[in-house]
Amino acid sequence: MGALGIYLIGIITLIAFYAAVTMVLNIEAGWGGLWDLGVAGLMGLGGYFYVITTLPTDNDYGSLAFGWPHWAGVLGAGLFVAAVALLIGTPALRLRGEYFLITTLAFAEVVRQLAINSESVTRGTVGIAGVDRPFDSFVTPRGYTWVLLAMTVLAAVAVFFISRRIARSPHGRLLRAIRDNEPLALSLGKNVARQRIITFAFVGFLYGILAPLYVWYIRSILPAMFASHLTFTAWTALVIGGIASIGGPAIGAAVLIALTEALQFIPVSPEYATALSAARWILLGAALILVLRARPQGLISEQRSMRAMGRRRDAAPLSITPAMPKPGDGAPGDASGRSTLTISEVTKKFGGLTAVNNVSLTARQGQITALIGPNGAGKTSLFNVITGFEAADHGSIKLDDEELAGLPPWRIAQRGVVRTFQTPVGFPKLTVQENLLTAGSSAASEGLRAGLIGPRTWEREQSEVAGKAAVITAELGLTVDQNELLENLSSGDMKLVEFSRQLMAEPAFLLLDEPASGVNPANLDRLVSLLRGLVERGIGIVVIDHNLSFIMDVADHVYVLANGAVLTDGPPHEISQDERVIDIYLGSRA
Amino acid sequence: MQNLLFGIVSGSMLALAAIGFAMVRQTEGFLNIAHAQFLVLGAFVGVVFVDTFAVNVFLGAALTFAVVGIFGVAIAKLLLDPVRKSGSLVLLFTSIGIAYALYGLIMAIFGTEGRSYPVDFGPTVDFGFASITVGELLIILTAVAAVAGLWVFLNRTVVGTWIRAVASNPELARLRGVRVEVVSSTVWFIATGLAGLAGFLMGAMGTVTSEMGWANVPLILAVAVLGGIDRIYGVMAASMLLGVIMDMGVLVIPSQYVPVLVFGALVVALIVRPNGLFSTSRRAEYAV
Repeated sequence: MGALGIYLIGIITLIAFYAAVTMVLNIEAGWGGLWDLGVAGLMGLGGYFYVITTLPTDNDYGSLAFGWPHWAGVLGAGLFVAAVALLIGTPALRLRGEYFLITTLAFAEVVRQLAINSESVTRGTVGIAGVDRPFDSFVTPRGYTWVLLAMTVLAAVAVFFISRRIARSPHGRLLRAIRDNEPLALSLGKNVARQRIITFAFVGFLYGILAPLYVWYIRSILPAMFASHLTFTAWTALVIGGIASIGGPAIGAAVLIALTEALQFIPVSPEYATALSAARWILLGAALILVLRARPQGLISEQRSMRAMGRRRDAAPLSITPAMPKPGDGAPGDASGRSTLTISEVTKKFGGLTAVNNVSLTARQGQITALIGPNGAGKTSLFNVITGFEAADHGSIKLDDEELAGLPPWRIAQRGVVRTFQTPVGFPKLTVQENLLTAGSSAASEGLRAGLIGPRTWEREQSEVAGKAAVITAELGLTVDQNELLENLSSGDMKLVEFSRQLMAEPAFLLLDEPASGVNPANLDRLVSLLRGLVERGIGIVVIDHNLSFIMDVADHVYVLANGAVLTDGPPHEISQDERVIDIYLGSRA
Repeated sequence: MQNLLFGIVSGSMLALAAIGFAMVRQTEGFLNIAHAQFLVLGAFVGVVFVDTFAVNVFLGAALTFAVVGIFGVAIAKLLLDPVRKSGSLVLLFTSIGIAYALYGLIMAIFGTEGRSYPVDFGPTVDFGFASITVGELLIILTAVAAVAGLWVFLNRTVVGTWIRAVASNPELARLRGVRVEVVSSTVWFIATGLAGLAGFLMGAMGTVTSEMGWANVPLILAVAVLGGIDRIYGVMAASMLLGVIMDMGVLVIPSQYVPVLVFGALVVALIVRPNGLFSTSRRAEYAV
């Protein structure tokens, strides 16, 4: 085998390595929605942990060393990086999008600077050369390229199967749901913060155990290996290949590395080395710009990937177990079995503005309670406070005897108080069925563990949930293709999915924020009968709307809010006669 | 005291570099990673003017601003406008592609060897507690003048008002007849021009290398975020703060640990004040 052969094996090894890293990045960024620019930092930590723990204690440098066996060093690197990810992730994951991106970038910079400057441990910019590798003593250096190739390809294949298994599981679906619409996920009782931290620690573990491969490939460790170049290469591969698809990341890595490495074949005299390096960067930049212009979704789009997965599921359909949902499993109820939601003296201030001022109201299961009032009366703010999205400054919110004030939104939703939002965007990149299944699935089947172990842990529950979904959608008259992405639906169908989805969460109380807005007036009667049908089944509904005639048709009891306070309340026919109400609506403010 | 003064000088240059980044983020809605490469471009274009063509330093700075600004507008129209409808993630990564390509182009044209400006910083002015060269004083004055000019432009001209309108509410601005394409071109001209100017000054202070762009990416992001990514004056204050911390930091800890301190502080600051150090208002996240 000639030098060219060795070189080619080296490139394939590098492709496999970057494919693995990019697929891990896809788990956190593509599905988890974490814009992590700290990949190099996490991998650097893993690399140094591995080298320092496995370095023989009688090494020539006299540097810090523990002499662990290789397997312990690799596993330890994974666990160490996972622990660090947990540590920095717990506070940093409160940050959204761009802020998380910059925090992780800064973190990676801190790691690199520490590696450069902690000379007694890392030997600074020079690094630790000639690192001992597993199986090194069994084969010739030339033969070792094959060993390394085999190990790296094995790792890439393993990561591929892990990521595909996650993509197909309820866990992957939950990650994409949280990515698409975090408030909605919270309102369906999903513990979003916990999920994010688990994802970050999990990918930290994977980065940690992949890092030694890179060390073996270079045969040494130095800070320059973990500069932001590593992060940007993985991100570029991800974006070119297709973010959030299943096969895209590996393809993107192959295209990108092959493209940039191919230029090394051009024989040039050393004086043109700079020009060659420059050409590589220009080519890389041009590839990124052109791919994104021609295919903003990348070579393989998320939609195509997930549709293909949906079709596979059709081939072996989830056996549907029809079951009628019971309202509010968790809520104990009174003597008649019906629960009460009691809001007492709730106040919420934003700076100097009192959005909700000492509001008390009561809603009962089996009834529709309406909140009306002009814009800025505090209706949505009150919803935010009841469902835990905003903390009340004062007052109590009780479901029967249980205090809800102070609980996080997802816990309140799990207690059975489920809300909708004014804009029913749902989880746009999930199919109709995925939207419904997400709402009805338990935390156990949506966990990372279930996702990794495989279908036998979640298949049965998913069948039951799919059965429930079939019943609800049939009842509500939703007839669209269940494998269509939600964002492709008409607004009317989207609204029906919205209702179906929130019902899948089995609410004791359903809080509807402007359900009639955007509904064709001709269809309002249908909405009224739909809501009446729900309360007859025992659900309690609290509804906000601007459409007075709709409210008067549908409500059992109406509260009128003005300037954050309850102006009056009573049955609809009294409210519609009340002069103060007519005043605020017809505007006698002058 | 001397270090405080140095800190103000580095802070001024950083502010010039970061203001444009924040303006683009605010009006165009994405993080323009290529911004730092315009810095390098400015530094090299400046060297060509001042060194190769022996242009006067002040004229050279003005020409650099104009050339880099026009180049920035061209890049935005040719490469960024066509992908605008694909959203901020695609824009962000297109800008990374532009950064790669610019970096390669600069390397191809100017090589990897460092160059320096043939400028004389003039006599040292001694204040007793600290001293500064006339050249460094001019850098501070340039930064102050640029910021003052920007303020006048944003607050006293029609186009400036449009820019502020687009920044606070692009949809409404469009509906009210603001000419969005004029705003976009103007913002790109000013933003990349300021980056070019900052590169010119950084080059004059030290050496010009093709690597100075990447080195400045984390710093620009840091001050943009610390200042509150949508607040120009916050970004300026954060730049000054960071410049001073870096130059004063060496008095307290070994100089090689200063970057660790700075970025460690950034992480902590973000976690404590997620909307930037100078944010006063809080938006309700879950309304609508």
